[in-house]
Amino acid sequence: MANEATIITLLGNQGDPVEYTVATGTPIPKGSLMEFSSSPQTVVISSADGKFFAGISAFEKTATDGVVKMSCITHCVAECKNSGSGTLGLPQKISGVNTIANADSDTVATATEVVGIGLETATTGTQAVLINL
Amino acid sequence: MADEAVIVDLLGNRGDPIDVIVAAGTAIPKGTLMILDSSPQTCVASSGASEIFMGITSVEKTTTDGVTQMALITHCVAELTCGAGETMVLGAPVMTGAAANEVDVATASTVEGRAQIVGIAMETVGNNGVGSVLINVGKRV
Repeated sequence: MANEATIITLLGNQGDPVEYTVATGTPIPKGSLMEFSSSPQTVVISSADGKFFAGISAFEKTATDGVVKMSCITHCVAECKNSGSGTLGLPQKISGVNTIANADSDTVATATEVVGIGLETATTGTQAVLINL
Repeated sequence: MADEAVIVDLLGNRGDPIDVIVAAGTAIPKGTLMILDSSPQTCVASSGASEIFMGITSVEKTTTDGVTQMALITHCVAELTCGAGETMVLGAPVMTGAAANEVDVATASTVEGRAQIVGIAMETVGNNGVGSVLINVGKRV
C-alpha cells in the first residue's frame, strides 16, 4: 500500500483508540485510513469518497497473522495524503485509498464522513489534519 | 485585550494541547481565543465572527519573549463572554464573536463549516454575560 498517514500528536487518552473487527486474511499497514464496511463495527482500508471514516490503524497487520481485531486511533494530529488542494481550516473527507480531499457540504452534513480539519494548505501533498471522531 | 476565557475544567489528556505557530512580536494573553490564520498551523487571536477556532492559550506570551510556538487547549469547559446584543442558549453551538475573545450564537452555515464552532453553551447568557462552554475542537458530530 502507499500514502499511509503519519501520526504527529496523540490527543485524548493515547489517541483514544477504538477496537474494530477486520478481515483475517487482509494485510493492513500501520497508518491506514480505515472506513466502516459492515455491521457490527467492521472496518477496511479507505477506498472512495462517501465512506464513513473510522480512524487510523495503530499497528501493522499481515495476511497470515490471524488478527481479527484492530485498534484505530480516533483523536490525533496526523499528516495525511491529500489528493487535491487541501484548504486550511476546511473539513476533509476520504477521497480514495489513504487519501483525503476537501469535504463538500453533503459530506459535512453527514458528519461521519469527515476525517478531520485541515491545519495547513496542501496541493497534492501531505496535510496536517486534526482528527477528533 | 479583554474578555479572556477562564478554563474551568481540563478534559481529555490535560486539555489535549496542540502546538501551533504564532508571530514572535505579538503579545497574547493567557485565555485568548485563537483562530487558524495561515498555513501551516499558524494562529492569531480571534478578532471577528465565523473564524476557524483552534483553541485557548494556556500561557501568556509577551512581545519580547521570542516565543514562536504556543500550546492551545482544545478540550475543556471554559467561561466565555457572550457578545453584545447576543444570547447564547443552553445546548446550542457558539462561534467566535464580532469582538475579540467573545462568542456569538452559531449560524447554520457556521455549523456546517464545523471548524468555526467554538463549543456548546452549557448555560443561557445574554449581552456580554459570562457563561460556561464545552469545547472540543475538531469534534465532527
